[in-house]
Amino acid sequence: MEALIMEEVVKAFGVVRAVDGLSLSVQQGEILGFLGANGAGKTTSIKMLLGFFRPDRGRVEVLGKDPCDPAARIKIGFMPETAYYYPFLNVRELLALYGGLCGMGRESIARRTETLIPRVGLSEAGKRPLRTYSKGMLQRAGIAQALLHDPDLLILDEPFTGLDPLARIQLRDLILDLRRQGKTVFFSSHELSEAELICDRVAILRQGRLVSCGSVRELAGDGGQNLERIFLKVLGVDAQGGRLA
Amino acid sequence: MSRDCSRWMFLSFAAAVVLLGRAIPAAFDDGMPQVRGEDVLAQVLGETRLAVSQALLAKADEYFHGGVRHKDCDHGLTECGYDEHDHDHEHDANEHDAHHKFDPWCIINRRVHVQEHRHMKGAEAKELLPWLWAANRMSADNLQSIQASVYVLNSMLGNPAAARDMLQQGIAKNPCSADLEFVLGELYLRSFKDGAKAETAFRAALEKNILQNDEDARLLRLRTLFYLGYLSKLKGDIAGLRQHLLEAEELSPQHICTRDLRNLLQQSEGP
Amino acid sequence: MRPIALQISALSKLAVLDLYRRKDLAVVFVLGGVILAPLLFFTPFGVSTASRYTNELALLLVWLFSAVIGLGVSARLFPPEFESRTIYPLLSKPVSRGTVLAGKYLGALAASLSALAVFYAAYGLLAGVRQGVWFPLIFWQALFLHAAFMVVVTALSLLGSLTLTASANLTMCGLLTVGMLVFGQRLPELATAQPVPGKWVLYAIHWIAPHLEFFDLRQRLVHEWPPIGWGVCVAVWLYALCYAAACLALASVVLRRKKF
Ligand SMILES: Nc1ncnc2c1ncn2[C@@H]1O[C@H](COP(=O)(O)OP(=O)(O)OP(=O)(O)O)[C@@H](O)[C@H]1O
Ligand SMILES: [Mg+2]
Repeated sequence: MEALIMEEVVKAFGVVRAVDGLSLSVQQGEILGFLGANGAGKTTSIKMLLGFFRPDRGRVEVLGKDPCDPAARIKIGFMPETAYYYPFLNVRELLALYGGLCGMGRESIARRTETLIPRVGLSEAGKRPLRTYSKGMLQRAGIAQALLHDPDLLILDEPFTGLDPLARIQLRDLILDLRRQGKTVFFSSHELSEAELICDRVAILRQGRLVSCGSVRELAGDGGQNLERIFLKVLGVDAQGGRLA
Repeated sequence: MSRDCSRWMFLSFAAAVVLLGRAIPAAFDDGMPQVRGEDVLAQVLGETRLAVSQALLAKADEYFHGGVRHKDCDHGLTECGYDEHDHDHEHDANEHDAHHKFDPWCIINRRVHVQEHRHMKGAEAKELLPWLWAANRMSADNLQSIQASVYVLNSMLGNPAAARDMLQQGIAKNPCSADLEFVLGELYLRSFKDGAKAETAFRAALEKNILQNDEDARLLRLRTLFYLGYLSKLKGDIAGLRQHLLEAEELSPQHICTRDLRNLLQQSEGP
Repeated sequence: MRPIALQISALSKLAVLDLYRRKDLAVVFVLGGVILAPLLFFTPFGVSTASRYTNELALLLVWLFSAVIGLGVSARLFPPEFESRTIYPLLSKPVSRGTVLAGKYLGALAASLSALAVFYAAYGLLAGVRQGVWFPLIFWQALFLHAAFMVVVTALSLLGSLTLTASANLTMCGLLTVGMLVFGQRLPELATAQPVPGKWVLYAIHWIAPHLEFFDLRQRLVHEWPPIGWGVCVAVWLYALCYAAACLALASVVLRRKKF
């Protein structure tokens, strides 16, 4: 069963076609890496998946529902690209806020908070206001809030940026762990090596269009190339010079 | 950090301004182009001081009317002379609202905001003092506010001594004002029953009055002459009384003060 | 609790924390104390002490600070969410935009009403000590109507914060508040005195702009006039609720249409 479906989705901002006829579906329990150059339309697609705005054309469905309906988002966890969370709260208060928004009671919030904070490595900084956090620490807080209500589908926009090597490994393990629990993970990334390690499939976007989709092995064909080479080839970039072919 | 810093800088700057404003006039007693004892703030305000003083007096008048501003009340505090005036009369406070009778917003406003006309009475008048004090302090040239203060202190609060002290300060700052001398004379005569001091004040009023030549000055002169004649009569000085009557007749033979003087003379010569 | 109540209370708490952690209130109190303290020991002409002028000044400060806090808190509800992009995680949760608006508005209102209560308690104590009259009925009426003022002002600046830039919003709302408090009562009178284009503009303002002077019982409170009828109080509150509801309805349309 599909966790997420996009069919012929088009979204334009003025003359810029950010997403241009994108069709993509993600199976439940799958990890899909959403790749593409800067400005390829990854964040725009994700925003439509969360119902921040409707596509100009095409259909978007998430967990069998229209994402603009709040009820559809009950089982979705989302982590944005960059967010500077409320500087006057500490991470526990932040999680309490988001827990309340998810309709969780006080006890279940407390229980989840106790497991999540050590898991994202914020135990020491738990009492400090977020204004004192570093970029990576904010990113970790973002991961915690995405996982707070135990969602079935995780949509992560560039989750690896800003994390130190150890945190990357932890996040990688976390994502694999989630798959083991039967959750679906959809993440955009520029970290091709990470994507190669954990993704069941990757989708590569170029100027709003899906140019390639499949498992790394399928895309590599017989040449046994790594994801970086595949990426460059698909985008039509000369591997040595980095010029457009 | 930098916000704290700028906050402290701002506060210390403000403190420095106040301190300098106080310290400079004290340090350069006569060396500064300003009146002794006046601070920099007063100098900066300059001519606007009289306007501010008038506004403060208007505020006192508003208090006199229970917080309502009546621009058409012609016997408020700003107009008070020394006479007791009759406060019982109808005010049509709503007249300009007449054609907004059915406007819901106007209806609500009329219910919420005071429409009645009320005058302060008795000891309640102490509430006026801060505004009058400020009006006097703001500009020494505001004779109206000095007169109003005398009225409030003496007639409403029954404290003629405070009224006298304030009036003497006012006269010291306005040495040319006949009006203030006249008010002082009335105060001595009516509240202190001190004929001698009253006479000195009225004579001073007469002297200062010669410098002016308008209608108000002429009326003040007549009133002063009446009081002087009255005081002469009290002393039994009929010649003095006649002299004042002559002067008054020269100014205006038909004025009520002249007529009163004539009556006084007739009474003392009569039987 | 039902989920929507949980959502609204979480959002409200955020707005309240925002106000109290900024320490604006402490600054306001110190400022008020610094302004009022010298006046408390002042005896003009060396005669007896007057109390109404300190009460009036204290109430003026209460109005000023409450307006600043009400306008400020609710103007800060949305723009920082957009700037720091926290609106994305917020809206990715199962909340409707209407709930977000309602929760945030109620939070701003709760925060400013709590500040208002503290201000009035301070004023009531000051006036009680100075005048010897402790919390008369007109005091409670003044507080009651001032609360309605906060209801309108917070809704107004919330709407402004969604449609204008932050500085434009604060300037507009500030001018509107002061302007209506000073001239609101005299608008029809001023309008009749104007030639034609100005006349219609003033009448339009009279009919559309929020009549904030309805909520202002300072005159009666300071000068010890008798209380007003409770019917009028209720009418004024109804006016406030309708006005705030209209502002919030417009704001929710704007928020629903907004693309992030
Ligand atoms: N609100 C907007 N208004 C106008 N143009 C926009 C808007 N949002 C995105 N775009 C444009 O749409 C295109 C796709 O942007 P998007 O943010 O989806 O890229 P992305 O793939 O996430 O890039 P990156 O890897 O840098 O995050 C870009 O050309 C961008 O300029
Ligand atoms: Mg992006």
